[in-house]
Amino acid sequence: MSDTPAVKVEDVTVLHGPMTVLDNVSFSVGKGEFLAIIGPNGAGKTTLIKVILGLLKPSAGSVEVFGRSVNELGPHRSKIGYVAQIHGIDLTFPVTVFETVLMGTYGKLGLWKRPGSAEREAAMRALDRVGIANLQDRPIARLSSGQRQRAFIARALANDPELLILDEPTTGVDIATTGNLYSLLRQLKNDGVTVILVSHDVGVVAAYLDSLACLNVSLVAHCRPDEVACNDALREMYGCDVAYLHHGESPHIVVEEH
Amino acid sequence: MEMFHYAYFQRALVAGVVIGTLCAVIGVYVVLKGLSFIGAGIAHASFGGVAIGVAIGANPIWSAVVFCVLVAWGIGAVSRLGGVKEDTAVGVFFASTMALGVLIIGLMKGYQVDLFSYLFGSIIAVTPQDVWTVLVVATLVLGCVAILYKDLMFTAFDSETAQVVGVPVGKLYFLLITMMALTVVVSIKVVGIVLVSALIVTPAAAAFQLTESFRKMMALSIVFGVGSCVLGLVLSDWLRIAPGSAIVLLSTLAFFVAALFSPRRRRRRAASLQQTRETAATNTGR
Repeated sequence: MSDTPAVKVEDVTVLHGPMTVLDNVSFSVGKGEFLAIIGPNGAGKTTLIKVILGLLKPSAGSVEVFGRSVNELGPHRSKIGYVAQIHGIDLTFPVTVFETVLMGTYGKLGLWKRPGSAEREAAMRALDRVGIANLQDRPIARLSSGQRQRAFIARALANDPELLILDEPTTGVDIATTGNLYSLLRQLKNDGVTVILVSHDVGVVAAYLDSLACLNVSLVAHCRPDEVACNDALREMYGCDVAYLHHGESPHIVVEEH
Repeated sequence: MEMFHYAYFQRALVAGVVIGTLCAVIGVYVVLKGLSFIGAGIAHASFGGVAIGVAIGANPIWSAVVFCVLVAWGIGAVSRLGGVKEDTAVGVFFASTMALGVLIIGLMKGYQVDLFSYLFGSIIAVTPQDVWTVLVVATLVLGCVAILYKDLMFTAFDSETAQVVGVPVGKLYFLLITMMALTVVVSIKVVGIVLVSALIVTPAAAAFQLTESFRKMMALSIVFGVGSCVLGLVLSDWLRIAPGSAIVLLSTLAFFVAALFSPRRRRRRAASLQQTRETAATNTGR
């Protein structure tokens, strides 16, 4: 069963009133693959993520995660780590960093049961991994945006996910944290975690990616980031030339000023 | 302090302490999840439930429990499944169920229900049977909250992520509004239909001003809720005023004092001052 893709999206269409938000999107992500979905604002990226996570029912089409229909995942749901867009979260909620990260273990733990030492250790490991173990007792309201983003990534990691989905994790985050985030994602990929990263920012570090999906309502391209098809697709989406900038060892995709 | 020797006052006091705790605990979730309007809607619906009970000769509290739970589920179902905004659903249900109550009471010619005590609460209206009802419902609701503490907290904080990892957020939402309905109904004898939603919201809102810890917010909310209930009952018996008004006004006072000393508010002000200074500095720099 090792060739079962981690995520398989088939002919997904989402209509919102008279608007077509997603048009007949199909692709699959292999186990341990690192995919970035990029596209301009309003391209349907977040909608696609919500369909993959089973939070939104598509008007047509189907989604399989770990080889099962996303609506029949049952306990396998706890193998998904999700980092939502930061502006969807109530940042005044009275909760500490540690308590936030501990929530990541609640899915696997199930109802009624209290988190024990195994869960607490998992939360501490996740905090260590993103480098904010020293902030564990800080209320989330009193974090910088970079620290807050790390806390939410730690929550997604607390359950040792097999599939990690991040929606715009670099929004409002400084360059150093963004760099740390990408190297963390590479480590996770090397550990065999399937990673799907959504960004409107084409400055995604191409070197770590296995594939790049260019989305603008429909799937414009789904290819390796160094293929010519991707350049054409990016030009089509952003209406200008896109080039790779080689900086040190990691090529960045950049859009020319226009 | 001779009031404490009277059985009616002792009953009201026991009911007040339990109701203060119950409302304060449920209130934390209501405030954090932004459900206060549903609370007000359910409270008004209980008028219809009380009227039905009086009409069919059943205990109005139990008929109100059944009716309010159904209305709460109705609001939940219409807003979650029917594509109607939650506040619209509340708006539709809350007026119509109150209208139904007025209609039923109007049709029962010659029957004098002590409506005032249901609307604004009354100390002498609390029967021994009411005290038992309050205790049973409180045990049930507080037991549920204790058992599902972490899951309710996760759902209130970030229901989308909770749903992704497999927490049954839909079921927990319906459980929460069911517990709200139960809390509202057992509280109306003491606080009254019109004022009960304030007893749910205000102590928790006051607690929210003072802390950034969930546990402390829960504890402070209980202190404010029970404190307002006990002090309010004493004042209402002493001054011969409606207990609901006394309790709600005391908790509102607590809210304003808490807001005045709120570290949250002070920090927000400091942050905006800092920002203004930085902007000013940047502008002068140019």
